[in-house]
Amino acid sequence: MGHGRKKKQAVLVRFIQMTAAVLMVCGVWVQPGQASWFGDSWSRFDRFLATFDPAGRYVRQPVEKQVPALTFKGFYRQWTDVMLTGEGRVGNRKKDFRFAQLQNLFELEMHYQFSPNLELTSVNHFLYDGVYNWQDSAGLYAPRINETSRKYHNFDRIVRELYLSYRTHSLDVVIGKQQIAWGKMDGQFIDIINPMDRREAVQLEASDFEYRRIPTWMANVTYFFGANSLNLLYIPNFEQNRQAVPGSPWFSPSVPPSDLIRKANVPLLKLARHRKRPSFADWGDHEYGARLDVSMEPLTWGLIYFYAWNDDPTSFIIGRHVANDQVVLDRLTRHTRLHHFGITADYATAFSGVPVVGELPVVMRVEGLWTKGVKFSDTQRVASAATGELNSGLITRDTMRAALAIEFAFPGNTSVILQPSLFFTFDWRESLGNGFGGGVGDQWSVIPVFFVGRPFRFTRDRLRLELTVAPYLSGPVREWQGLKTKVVASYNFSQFITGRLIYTAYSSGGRRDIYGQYDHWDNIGWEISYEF
Amino acid sequence: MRNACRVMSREGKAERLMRHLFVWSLLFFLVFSVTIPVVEGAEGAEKTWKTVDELSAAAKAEIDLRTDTPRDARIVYIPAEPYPFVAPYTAEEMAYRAMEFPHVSRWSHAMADAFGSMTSGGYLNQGVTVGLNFYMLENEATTGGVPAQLRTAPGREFYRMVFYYTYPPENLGAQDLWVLYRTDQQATTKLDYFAYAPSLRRVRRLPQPRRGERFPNSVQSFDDIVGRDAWEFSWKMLGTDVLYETVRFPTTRPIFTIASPEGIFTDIPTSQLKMMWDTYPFYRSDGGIECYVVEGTTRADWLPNYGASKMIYWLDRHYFYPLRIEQYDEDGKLRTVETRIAKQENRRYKIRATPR
Repeated sequence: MGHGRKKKQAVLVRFIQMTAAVLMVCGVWVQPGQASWFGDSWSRFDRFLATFDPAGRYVRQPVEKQVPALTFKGFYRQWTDVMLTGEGRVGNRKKDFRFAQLQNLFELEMHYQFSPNLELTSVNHFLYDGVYNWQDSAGLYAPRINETSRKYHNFDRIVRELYLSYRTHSLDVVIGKQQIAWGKMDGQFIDIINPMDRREAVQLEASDFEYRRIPTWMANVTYFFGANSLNLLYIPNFEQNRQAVPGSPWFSPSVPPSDLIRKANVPLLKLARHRKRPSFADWGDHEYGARLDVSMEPLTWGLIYFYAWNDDPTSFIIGRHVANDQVVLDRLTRHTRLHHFGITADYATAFSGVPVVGELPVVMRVEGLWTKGVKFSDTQRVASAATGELNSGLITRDTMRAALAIEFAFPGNTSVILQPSLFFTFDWRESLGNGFGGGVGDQWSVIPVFFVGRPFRFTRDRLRLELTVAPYLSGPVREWQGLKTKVVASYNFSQFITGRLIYTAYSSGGRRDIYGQYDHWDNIGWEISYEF
Repeated sequence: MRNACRVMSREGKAERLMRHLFVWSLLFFLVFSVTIPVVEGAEGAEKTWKTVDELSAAAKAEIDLRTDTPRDARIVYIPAEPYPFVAPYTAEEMAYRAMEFPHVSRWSHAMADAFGSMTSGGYLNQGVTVGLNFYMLENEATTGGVPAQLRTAPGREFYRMVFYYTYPPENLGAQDLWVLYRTDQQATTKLDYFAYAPSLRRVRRLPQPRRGERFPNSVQSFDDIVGRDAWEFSWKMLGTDVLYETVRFPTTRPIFTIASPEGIFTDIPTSQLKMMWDTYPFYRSDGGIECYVVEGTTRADWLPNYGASKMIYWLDRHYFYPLRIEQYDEDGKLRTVETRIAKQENRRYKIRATPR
């Protein structure tokens, strides 16, 4: 990249940062109605925005009047993230880009009611990410491997959900392409039904799961009896997780080989990404799930079982050969079967006589998942395979992941959530790699997430600030894997338009650690969303 | 050229001075011409309220000014006299009668709830929900409502409310389930709160809202919506008043669309909307409604850190329907004024259908 371009880009980044700062200050200090700085213009603009809903007024409402059985809604959302640190080599990556995302997402959700019980639902997504075109970077080449990184261009991605639902008082039957959320924590614990598009790696937030889950074709039946329910799932169409593609902004800098080698060997990359996947046509390859929810006020609890495939494939050693006097292991990447057993429980109460605040309402949530039969790569076994022993290079272990969230409702509509989360591998040994549900590079990981958020009355609750702090601890080897801090300022410009400024920082930890490797990925982002 | 400019400048100054004089004179005239009639009007206006001391003997005979009436043997914090009480009424008994009429009435019904708030700058926040409200004590048809709630053991649920949001678009499809519990000083959990968020795709249990604290972007608190329990306040009679207007419509809103229970929509002029509809039989000849004015002071032993220090209710003399409610914050400053227009549609319950 030439100096001129670099300079231009730096100026652009600086301009955007300054604009964001000014917008943030304005958002905080301009009090609606008081029109302190801008005189009546601000109020006039506010009044104009209050009813600014062109898509709703000129498209949605007329169409719904013409076709009463049809309801639809949608949104346009623009996300931009700019890295705060300079360019350079980080780990195995040439980080020569500043924009981590310039995503434009348009969603159109339609419901057509054939009868009071029968409804067809379609949710469509149109996404374009400008990071690959709007900045000059040699390190961002993901669209050469997978165009989905840049835009949604095929039926699978555009038609996100398409299902027919039949609902009665005691029975729900939903058949088609859909997403199901079994979990409701910050992070995934029993939310295991749909795979996830993890293009943002560690920056993927629970609030984005709705847009990042990959819907699959399935039959979903729920039977309600009393205050309880039984949910059964049959999923013939397996989909795997999509990790950040090499050459995308969030591809891990700790993964070798270097960008240059990968970039020069696209066929090799595609081969590495090739995997043997379960077949739609084979009954033995389908997934089955069951969930029972029981209400015993003020406690509700549930049990789940999911006979599934691991959404991430495992690399099996299937042979060995010698090339250039070196032993090369032949590998096949394929998915493996897992048994998931889970629990969930919610309990609500209110503490009385708490100093300063008086009554303090509290909700406690628990989610836990025990997974049987997780394949871990094992360096001891790989070494044995290299010497000629016949083995897959893998070892089977059970894992557990669980979280306890305690949510407090403090005065001023202030929410505080404490959520310690645990990831644990049974019978762990130091030669193990990573596997579903276990600690990253360790026997156990603990993430004590702290969240606080509140709206501000002087802005008529239009401004809301949130802070999330997530330290990553693990043992017995790595101990400290870094800290993720997120500050969000969201502002309601109107009921239809919302803006958000988001600062995310990854501090400390080592180059191979989960947060530590993204030490140079601190970023500030803004998001504008229009819903109709 | 320079001289010419100076001359023009002097002329311009004189012109501006004359203009200012004219404007100030006009303002002076306007201010006084408006102010004088207002002062005259104020002097001539009839005083609509009476303090307790000013009440006639006949009016005093209808009310009981005691604040320490006998207590119920089983539930020691409620009046011993059985609901719905008989005259003369204490302020506390009136408050128990008014408990029937919170935002969400205490009987099973479907409810189309359109609400909104607007700031002085013009920021508009609106919402529309469809509510399905199941009063769990409904089977006690003749004695449902407040007396059935009183007989429910503390800690037991008595009401379930489901709200389905249809507007604004960001809330479309969101649903709330509120399970209300009978409370006392030991069983303080008022609500189990479940929310379905389309973005989360799951029902999530939430902490119960702080009862006296208004919801974000709203004027109303949780208790404003589901109602207050009379035993959590100390009641006293302030006097009587005659209301001639409750909800004021702006001049830009000459027509109001109302829906009948049969689902028929009708446009009627706002000037024709009466405070308790045409069917209310107790309007005064001058169109006013006679009200009792009672004050409820928050009992700190029941509601510590409640946020509201007192409430003043204007209750119609015959049904004890609250037509105006003033709420004061912890510093005693007026916080909100709630005014109502109502029409009696449910004649199923004798208690509610029959005036005192």
